[in-house]
Amino acid sequence: MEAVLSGPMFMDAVPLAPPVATPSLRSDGEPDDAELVIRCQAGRHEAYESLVVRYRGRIYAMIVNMTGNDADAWDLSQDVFLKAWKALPRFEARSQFYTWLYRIAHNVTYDWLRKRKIGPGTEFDDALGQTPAAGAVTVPQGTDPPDARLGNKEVGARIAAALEELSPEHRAVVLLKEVDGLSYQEIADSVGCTLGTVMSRLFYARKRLQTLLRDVYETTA
Amino acid sequence: MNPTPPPDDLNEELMTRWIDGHLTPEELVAVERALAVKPLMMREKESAQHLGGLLRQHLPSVMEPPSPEFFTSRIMEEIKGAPVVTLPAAPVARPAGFRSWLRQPWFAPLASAAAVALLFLAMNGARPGIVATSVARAYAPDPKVVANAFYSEEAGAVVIDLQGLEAVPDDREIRAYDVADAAPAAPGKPLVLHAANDPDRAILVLSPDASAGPRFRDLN
Repeated sequence: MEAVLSGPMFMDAVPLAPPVATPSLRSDGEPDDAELVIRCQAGRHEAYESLVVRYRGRIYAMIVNMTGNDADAWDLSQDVFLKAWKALPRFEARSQFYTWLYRIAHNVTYDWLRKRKIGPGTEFDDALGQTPAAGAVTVPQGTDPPDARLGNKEVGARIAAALEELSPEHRAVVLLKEVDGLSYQEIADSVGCTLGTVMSRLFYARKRLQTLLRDVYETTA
Repeated sequence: MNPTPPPDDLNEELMTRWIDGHLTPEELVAVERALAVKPLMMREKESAQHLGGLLRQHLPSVMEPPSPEFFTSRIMEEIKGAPVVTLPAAPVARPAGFRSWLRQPWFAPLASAAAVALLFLAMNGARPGIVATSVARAYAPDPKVVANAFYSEEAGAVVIDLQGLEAVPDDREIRAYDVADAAPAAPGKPLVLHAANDPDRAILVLSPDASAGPRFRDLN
Protein backbone atom coordinates (compact mmCIF):
# COMPACT_ATOMS: atom_id res chain seq x y z
CA MET A 1 0.00 0.00 0.00
CA GLU A 2 1.35 3.37 -0.86
CA ALA A 3 0.20 6.88 -1.36
CA VAL A 4 0.80 8.12 -4.86
CA LEU A 5 0.75 11.67 -6.05
CA SER A 6 0.43 11.51 -9.78
CA GLY A 7 0.41 13.95 -12.60
CA PRO A 8 2.84 16.64 -13.64
CA MET A 9 1.61 19.02 -10.98
CA PHE A 10 3.13 16.86 -8.31
CA MET A 11 6.45 16.15 -9.90
CA ASP A 12 8.40 18.00 -7.28
CA ALA A 13 6.10 17.27 -4.39
CA VAL A 14 7.57 16.52 -1.01
CA PRO A 15 8.62 12.88 -0.81
CA LEU A 16 6.44 11.01 1.61
CA ALA A 17 8.33 9.96 4.68
CA PRO A 18 7.98 6.35 5.73
CA PRO A 19 5.93 5.74 8.88
CA VAL A 20 8.12 5.93 11.92
CA ALA A 21 7.30 4.22 15.18
CA THR A 22 10.44 4.96 17.16
CA PRO A 23 12.26 8.21 17.78
CA SER A 24 13.84 9.12 14.47
CA LEU A 25 17.16 10.79 14.18
CA ARG A 26 18.81 12.87 11.51
CA SER A 27 22.15 12.00 10.04
CA ASP A 28 23.81 14.21 12.65
CA GLY A 29 22.26 12.18 15.44
CA GLU A 30 19.81 14.90 16.45
CA PRO A 31 16.09 14.12 16.63
CA ASP A 32 14.29 14.96 13.42
CA ASP A 33 11.56 17.58 13.25
CA ALA A 34 8.71 15.11 13.62
CA GLU A 35 10.22 13.68 16.78
CA LEU A 36 10.80 17.13 18.24
CA VAL A 37 7.23 18.13 17.42
CA ILE A 38 5.92 15.09 19.28
CA ARG A 39 8.03 16.03 22.29
CA CYS A 40 6.80 19.63 22.08
CA GLN A 41 3.22 18.44 22.01
CA ALA A 42 4.02 16.54 25.19
CA GLY A 43 4.99 19.86 26.73
CA ARG A 44 8.76 19.47 26.58
CA HIS A 45 10.17 22.94 26.22
CA GLU A 46 13.71 21.84 25.43
CA ALA A 47 12.43 20.19 22.25
CA TYR A 48 10.98 23.48 21.11
CA GLU A 49 14.24 25.23 21.90
CA SER A 50 15.93 22.79 19.51
CA LEU A 51 13.41 23.69 16.80
CA VAL A 52 13.92 27.41 17.39
CA VAL A 53 17.69 27.02 17.12
CA ARG A 54 17.27 24.87 14.03
CA TYR A 55 15.00 27.27 12.16
CA ARG A 56 15.61 30.76 13.52
CA GLY A 57 18.21 31.47 10.81
CA ARG A 58 15.92 30.42 7.99
CA ILE A 59 12.89 32.25 9.32
CA TYR A 60 14.85 35.41 10.06
CA ALA A 61 16.44 35.37 6.59
CA MET A 62 13.09 34.79 4.93
CA ILE A 63 11.54 37.72 6.76
CA VAL A 64 14.50 40.00 6.07
CA ASN A 65 14.25 39.13 2.39
CA MET A 66 10.51 39.77 2.42
CA THR A 67 10.55 43.02 4.36
CA GLY A 68 14.00 44.41 3.59
CA ASN A 69 14.07 45.46 7.22
CA ASP A 70 16.30 43.51 9.58
CA ALA A 71 15.31 45.40 12.74
CA ASP A 72 11.61 44.60 12.39
CA ALA A 73 12.48 41.11 11.16
CA TRP A 74 13.81 40.31 14.64
CA ASP A 75 10.46 41.09 16.25
CA LEU A 76 8.50 39.39 13.50
CA SER A 77 10.62 36.25 13.82
CA GLN A 78 9.92 36.23 17.54
CA ASP A 79 6.21 36.43 16.82
CA VAL A 80 6.47 33.54 14.39
CA PHE A 81 7.99 31.21 16.96
CA LEU A 82 5.61 32.29 19.70
CA LYS A 83 2.60 31.78 17.44
CA ALA A 84 3.99 28.42 16.32
CA TRP A 85 4.35 27.26 19.92
CA LYS A 86 0.75 28.22 20.66
CA ALA A 87 -0.44 26.45 17.51
CA LEU A 88 1.68 23.33 17.92
CA PRO A 89 -0.99 21.35 19.76
CA ARG A 90 -3.10 21.61 16.60
CA PHE A 91 -0.28 20.67 14.23
CA GLU A 92 -1.22 17.35 12.69
CA ALA A 93 1.92 16.70 10.66
CA ARG A 94 0.05 16.73 7.36
CA SER A 95 2.88 18.84 6.07
CA GLN A 96 6.50 19.16 7.02
CA PHE A 97 7.11 21.17 10.17
CA TYR A 98 9.20 23.74 8.34
CA THR A 99 6.57 24.39 5.65
CA TRP A 100 4.03 24.81 8.44
CA LEU A 101 6.43 27.22 10.16
CA TYR A 102 7.00 29.04 6.86
CA ARG A 103 3.25 29.45 6.57
CA ILE A 104 3.09 31.10 9.95
CA ALA A 105 6.03 33.29 8.97
CA HIS A 106 4.32 34.17 5.72
CA ASN A 107 1.12 35.16 7.50
CA VAL A 108 2.94 37.22 10.11
CA THR A 109 5.02 38.97 7.47
CA TYR A 110 2.09 39.51 5.13
CA ASP A 111 0.02 41.07 7.91
CA TRP A 112 2.91 43.34 8.82
CA LEU A 113 3.48 44.39 5.22
CA ARG A 114 -0.20 45.07 4.76
CA LYS A 115 -0.29 47.25 7.86
CA ARG A 116 2.85 49.08 6.92
CA LYS A 117 1.79 49.28 3.29
CA ILE A 118 5.32 48.70 2.17
CA GLY A 119 5.66 48.54 -1.56
CA PRO A 120 2.75 48.74 -3.97
CA GLY A 121 0.68 46.71 -1.52
CA THR A 122 -2.17 46.18 -3.88
CA GLU A 123 -4.11 43.00 -4.03
CA PHE A 124 -2.33 41.52 -6.93
CA ASP A 125 -3.95 40.47 -10.11
CA ASP A 126 -1.48 38.00 -11.53
CA ALA A 127 -1.44 39.73 -14.84
CA LEU A 128 -1.74 43.24 -13.49
CA GLY A 129 -0.25 45.65 -15.96
CA GLN A 130 1.79 43.01 -17.64
CA THR A 131 0.54 40.53 -20.12
CA PRO A 132 3.61 39.25 -21.83
CA ALA A 133 3.05 36.47 -24.27
CA ALA A 134 4.71 33.30 -23.17
CA GLY A 135 8.06 33.16 -24.82
CA ALA A 136 8.26 36.87 -25.33
CA VAL A 137 11.58 38.40 -24.45
CA THR A 138 11.55 41.07 -21.81
CA VAL A 139 13.54 44.18 -22.40
CA PRO A 140 15.30 46.18 -19.69
CA GLN A 141 13.51 49.44 -19.03
CA GLY A 142 16.55 51.20 -17.69
CA THR A 143 17.67 54.02 -19.90
CA ASP A 144 21.21 54.01 -18.62
CA PRO A 145 22.73 50.60 -19.09
CA PRO A 146 25.57 50.11 -16.65
CA ASP A 147 28.94 50.67 -18.19
CA ALA A 148 30.88 48.84 -15.53
CA ARG A 149 30.46 45.74 -13.42
CA LEU A 150 28.22 46.49 -10.49
CA GLY A 151 29.47 46.03 -6.96
CA ASN A 152 27.79 43.57 -4.62
CA LYS A 153 26.30 46.35 -2.54
CA GLU A 154 24.80 48.02 -5.55
CA VAL A 155 23.47 44.73 -6.88
CA GLY A 156 21.93 44.00 -3.48
CA ALA A 157 20.24 47.38 -3.50
CA ARG A 158 18.91 46.82 -7.01
CA ILE A 159 17.53 43.43 -6.02
CA ALA A 160 15.90 44.85 -2.90
CA ALA A 161 14.32 47.65 -4.91
CA ALA A 162 13.08 45.22 -7.54
CA LEU A 163 11.55 42.92 -4.92
CA GLU A 164 9.69 45.87 -3.45
CA GLU A 165 8.05 46.34 -6.81
CA LEU A 166 6.38 42.95 -6.42
CA SER A 167 3.28 42.35 -4.38
CA PRO A 168 3.92 40.44 -1.13
CA GLU A 169 2.30 37.37 -2.66
CA HIS A 170 4.56 37.34 -5.69
CA ARG A 171 7.62 38.25 -3.65
CA ALA A 172 7.01 35.35 -1.29
CA VAL A 173 6.62 32.80 -4.06
CA VAL A 174 9.72 33.81 -5.98
CA LEU A 175 11.84 33.98 -2.82
CA LEU A 176 10.63 30.61 -1.53
CA LYS A 177 11.42 29.05 -4.90
CA GLU A 178 14.67 30.71 -5.86
CA VAL A 179 16.27 31.43 -2.49
CA ASP A 180 14.82 28.81 -0.13
CA GLY A 181 14.62 26.15 -2.80
CA LEU A 182 11.14 24.94 -1.88
CA SER A 183 9.15 22.79 -4.27
CA TYR A 184 5.89 24.01 -5.77
CA GLN A 185 3.95 21.89 -3.29
CA GLU A 186 5.95 23.20 -0.33
CA ILE A 187 5.37 26.76 -1.51
CA ALA A 188 1.65 26.08 -1.88
CA ASP A 189 1.60 24.71 1.67
CA SER A 190 3.59 27.68 2.95
CA VAL A 191 1.54 30.45 1.41
CA GLY A 192 -1.80 28.67 1.39
CA CYS A 193 -2.69 28.58 -2.26
CA THR A 194 -3.03 26.07 -5.07
CA LEU A 195 -0.19 24.68 -7.14
CA GLY A 196 -1.55 26.47 -10.17
CA THR A 197 -1.48 29.77 -8.34
CA VAL A 198 2.10 29.13 -7.25
CA MET A 199 3.22 28.57 -10.83
CA SER A 200 1.26 31.52 -12.13
CA ARG A 201 2.68 33.85 -9.47
CA LEU A 202 6.14 32.52 -10.13
CA PHE A 203 5.75 33.18 -13.83
CA TYR A 204 4.72 36.80 -13.38
CA ALA A 205 7.16 37.48 -10.55
CA ARG A 206 10.01 36.25 -12.71
CA LYS A 207 8.80 38.29 -15.65
CA ARG A 208 8.71 41.43 -13.56
CA LEU A 209 12.12 40.80 -12.01
CA GLN A 210 13.62 40.00 -15.39
CA THR A 211 12.38 43.34 -16.63
CA LEU A 212 13.81 45.14 -13.64
CA LEU A 213 17.06 43.23 -13.24
CA ARG A 214 18.06 41.91 -16.62
CA ASP A 215 20.76 44.55 -17.01
CA VAL A 216 22.15 43.52 -13.61
CA TYR A 217 22.60 39.85 -14.28
CA GLU A 218 23.76 40.46 -17.81
CA THR A 219 26.37 42.86 -16.45
CA THR A 220 27.48 40.69 -13.57
CA ALA A 221 27.36 37.37 -15.42
CA MET B 1 -0.72 10.59 -35.58
CA ASN B 2 0.55 12.78 -32.83
CA PRO B 3 -1.26 12.38 -29.46
CA THR B 4 0.20 15.61 -28.04
CA PRO B 5 -0.28 18.50 -30.42
CA PRO B 6 1.89 21.52 -29.75
CA PRO B 7 0.10 24.22 -27.81
CA ASP B 8 -0.85 27.38 -29.61
CA ASP B 9 0.58 29.34 -26.77
CA LEU B 10 2.36 27.96 -23.76
CA ASN B 11 0.51 28.85 -20.62
CA GLU B 12 2.07 30.22 -17.45
CA GLU B 13 2.15 26.92 -15.62
CA LEU B 14 3.76 25.06 -18.49
CA MET B 15 6.35 27.78 -18.98
CA THR B 16 7.17 27.79 -15.29
CA ARG B 17 7.61 24.04 -15.11
CA TRP B 18 9.68 24.11 -18.29
CA ILE B 19 12.02 26.73 -16.82
CA ASP B 20 12.35 24.67 -13.65
CA GLY B 21 12.80 21.39 -15.51
CA HIS B 22 9.60 19.75 -14.29
CA LEU B 23 7.89 18.81 -17.55
CA THR B 24 6.71 15.32 -18.36
CA PRO B 25 8.33 13.77 -21.44
CA GLU B 26 5.14 14.38 -23.43
CA GLU B 27 5.02 18.02 -22.42
CA LEU B 28 8.67 18.41 -23.24
CA VAL B 29 8.06 17.15 -26.76
CA ALA B 30 5.29 19.70 -27.15
CA VAL B 31 7.48 22.51 -25.88
CA GLU B 32 10.34 21.53 -28.14
CA ARG B 33 7.96 21.66 -31.05
CA ALA B 34 6.88 25.12 -29.99
CA LEU B 35 10.51 26.15 -29.78
CA ALA B 36 10.83 25.58 -33.49
CA VAL B 37 8.43 28.43 -34.14
CA LYS B 38 9.31 30.51 -31.07
CA PRO B 39 13.07 30.30 -30.72
CA LEU B 40 13.14 33.27 -28.35
CA MET B 41 11.57 31.05 -25.73
CA MET B 42 14.94 29.48 -25.07
CA ARG B 43 16.42 32.90 -24.36
CA GLU B 44 13.56 33.54 -21.99
CA LYS B 45 14.31 30.34 -20.12
CA GLU B 46 18.00 31.18 -19.83
CA SER B 47 17.13 34.65 -18.61
CA ALA B 48 14.89 33.23 -15.88
CA GLN B 49 17.64 30.87 -14.82
CA HIS B 50 20.16 33.71 -14.65
CA LEU B 51 17.70 35.64 -12.52
CA GLY B 52 17.41 32.71 -10.13
CA GLY B 53 21.18 32.52 -9.88
CA LEU B 54 21.40 36.24 -9.15
CA LEU B 55 18.83 35.98 -6.34
CA ARG B 56 20.53 32.96 -4.78
CA GLN B 57 23.90 34.69 -4.95
CA HIS B 58 22.77 37.87 -3.23
CA LEU B 59 19.98 36.87 -0.87
CA PRO B 60 20.65 34.63 2.13
CA SER B 61 18.53 31.56 2.75
CA VAL B 62 19.91 31.35 6.29
CA MET B 63 20.89 34.33 8.43
CA GLU B 64 21.18 34.18 12.19
CA PRO B 65 19.30 37.01 13.93
CA PRO B 66 21.41 39.46 15.95
CA SER B 67 22.08 38.11 19.46
CA PRO B 68 20.83 34.63 18.53
CA GLU B 69 21.10 33.24 22.06
CA PHE B 70 19.02 36.09 23.38
CA PHE B 71 16.60 35.55 20.52
CA THR B 72 16.06 31.97 21.63
CA SER B 73 16.14 32.63 25.36
CA ARG B 74 13.49 35.30 25.05
CA ILE B 75 11.16 32.93 23.25
CA MET B 76 11.78 30.19 25.78
CA GLU B 77 11.16 32.56 28.68
CA GLU B 78 7.95 33.65 27.06
CA ILE B 79 6.60 30.16 26.54
CA LYS B 80 7.70 28.95 29.95
CA GLY B 81 5.89 31.82 31.59
CA ALA B 82 8.86 33.88 32.64
CA PRO B 83 8.80 35.33 36.17
CA VAL B 84 6.62 38.38 36.18
CA VAL B 85 7.75 41.29 38.30
CA THR B 86 4.87 43.32 39.63
CA LEU B 87 5.69 46.94 40.09
CA PRO B 88 3.68 49.77 41.60
CA ALA B 89 4.30 51.64 38.43
CA ALA B 90 2.58 53.29 35.56
CA PRO B 91 2.20 51.27 32.44
CA VAL B 92 4.58 52.47 29.82
CA ALA B 93 4.31 51.04 26.37
CA ARG B 94 7.58 49.62 25.22
CA PRO B 95 8.78 52.02 22.58
CA ALA B 96 9.79 50.06 19.54
CA GLY B 97 12.85 52.22 18.97
CA PHE B 98 14.07 51.66 22.50
CA ARG B 99 13.75 47.92 22.19
CA SER B 100 15.32 47.78 18.82
CA TRP B 101 18.56 49.52 19.68
CA LEU B 102 19.15 46.95 22.39
CA ARG B 103 19.42 44.20 19.87
CA GLN B 104 21.18 45.97 17.08
CA PRO B 105 24.32 44.17 15.89
CA TRP B 106 26.52 46.79 17.49
CA PHE B 107 25.03 46.09 20.87
CA ALA B 108 26.60 42.65 21.24
CA PRO B 109 30.22 43.83 21.08
CA LEU B 110 29.30 46.75 23.29
CA ALA B 111 27.89 44.35 25.82
CA SER B 112 30.89 42.07 25.58
CA ALA B 113 33.19 44.95 26.29
CA ALA B 114 31.27 45.68 29.43
CA ALA B 115 31.28 41.99 30.32
CA VAL B 116 27.58 41.88 30.74
CA ALA B 117 24.55 43.38 29.18
CA LEU B 118 21.24 43.77 30.81
CA LEU B 119 18.35 43.85 28.50
CA PHE B 120 15.27 45.34 29.98
CA LEU B 121 12.23 44.67 27.95
CA ALA B 122 10.32 47.18 29.92
CA MET B 123 11.52 49.99 32.11
CA ASN B 124 9.17 51.69 34.48
CA GLY B 125 9.44 54.23 37.16
CA ALA B 126 7.00 54.80 39.96
CA ARG B 127 4.15 57.16 39.53
CA PRO B 128 2.07 57.92 42.55
CA GLY B 129 -1.46 56.74 42.44
CA ILE B 130 -1.13 54.44 39.50
CA VAL B 131 -0.68 50.72 39.90
CA ALA B 132 0.21 48.52 37.04
CA THR B 133 2.27 45.50 36.21
CA SER B 134 5.42 45.35 34.26
CA VAL B 135 7.85 42.68 33.19
CA ALA B 136 11.60 42.96 33.42
CA ARG B 137 14.09 40.40 32.29
CA ALA B 138 17.80 40.26 32.53
CA TYR B 139 20.00 38.53 30.05
CA ALA B 140 23.77 38.13 30.07
CA PRO B 141 25.40 37.26 26.75
CA ASP B 142 28.45 36.01 28.62
CA PRO B 143 27.58 32.43 29.68
CA LYS B 144 29.78 32.81 32.75
CA VAL B 145 27.50 35.51 34.07
CA VAL B 146 24.10 34.65 35.51
CA ALA B 147 21.65 37.53 35.61
CA ASN B 148 18.45 37.56 37.60
CA ALA B 149 15.98 40.37 38.05
CA PHE B 150 13.47 40.75 40.86
CA TYR B 151 11.44 43.47 42.44
CA SER B 152 12.57 44.59 45.86
CA GLU B 153 9.86 45.99 48.10
CA GLU B 154 12.53 47.43 50.35
CA ALA B 155 14.28 49.30 47.59
CA GLY B 156 11.12 50.03 45.66
CA ALA B 157 12.96 49.08 42.51
CA VAL B 158 13.93 46.24 40.27
CA VAL B 159 17.17 44.67 41.44
CA ILE B 160 19.46 42.99 38.97
CA ASP B 161 21.65 40.34 40.53
CA LEU B 162 24.76 39.44 38.54
CA GLN B 163 26.72 36.35 39.49
CA GLY B 164 30.12 35.73 37.95
CA LEU B 165 30.73 39.29 36.83
CA GLU B 166 34.33 40.42 36.67
CA ALA B 167 35.39 43.12 39.08
CA VAL B 168 34.56 46.61 37.92
CA PRO B 169 37.61 48.93 37.93
CA ASP B 170 37.53 51.51 40.70
CA ASP B 171 37.98 54.35 38.28
CA ARG B 172 34.91 53.49 36.25
CA GLU B 173 32.21 56.03 36.72
CA ILE B 174 28.78 54.55 37.06
CA ARG B 175 25.79 56.78 37.00
CA ALA B 176 22.26 55.66 37.71
CA TYR B 177 19.17 57.11 36.14
CA ASP B 178 15.71 56.82 37.50
CA VAL B 179 13.71 56.84 34.34
CA ALA B 180 9.99 57.40 34.34
CA ASP B 181 9.23 57.38 30.70
CA ALA B 182 10.73 57.08 27.29
CA ALA B 183 9.22 59.01 24.46
CA PRO B 184 8.81 56.69 21.48
CA ALA B 185 11.48 57.49 18.97
CA ALA B 186 10.51 57.86 15.36
CA PRO B 187 12.84 56.17 12.91
CA GLY B 188 16.07 58.13 12.76
CA LYS B 189 15.08 60.34 15.69
CA PRO B 190 16.75 60.33 19.10
CA LEU B 191 15.12 58.61 22.06
CA VAL B 192 14.52 60.94 25.01
CA LEU B 193 14.38 59.52 28.54
CA HIS B 194 12.61 61.50 31.26
CA ALA B 195 13.27 61.65 34.97
CA ALA B 196 11.13 59.62 37.34
CA ASN B 197 10.66 62.45 39.81
CA ASP B 198 9.97 65.00 37.10
CA PRO B 199 8.44 63.41 34.00
CA ASP B 200 8.67 66.67 32.11
CA ARG B 201 12.44 66.82 32.54
CA ALA B 202 14.52 65.06 29.92
CA ILE B 203 17.67 63.57 31.44
CA LEU B 204 19.19 61.46 28.74
CA VAL B 205 19.11 61.41 24.95
CA LEU B 206 20.03 58.31 23.03
CA SER B 207 20.78 58.64 19.35
CA PRO B 208 22.82 56.72 16.79
CA ASP B 209 26.29 57.96 15.98
CA ALA B 210 27.86 57.97 12.53
CA SER B 211 28.49 54.23 12.66
CA ALA B 212 24.97 53.47 13.96
CA GLY B 213 26.34 52.88 17.44
CA PRO B 214 24.68 54.36 20.53
CA ARG B 215 25.53 57.91 21.57
CA PHE B 216 24.32 59.03 24.95
CA ARG B 217 23.92 62.69 25.74
CA ASP B 218 23.62 63.37 29.45
CA LEU B 219 21.42 66.39 30.10
CA ASN B 220 22.15 66.51 33.83
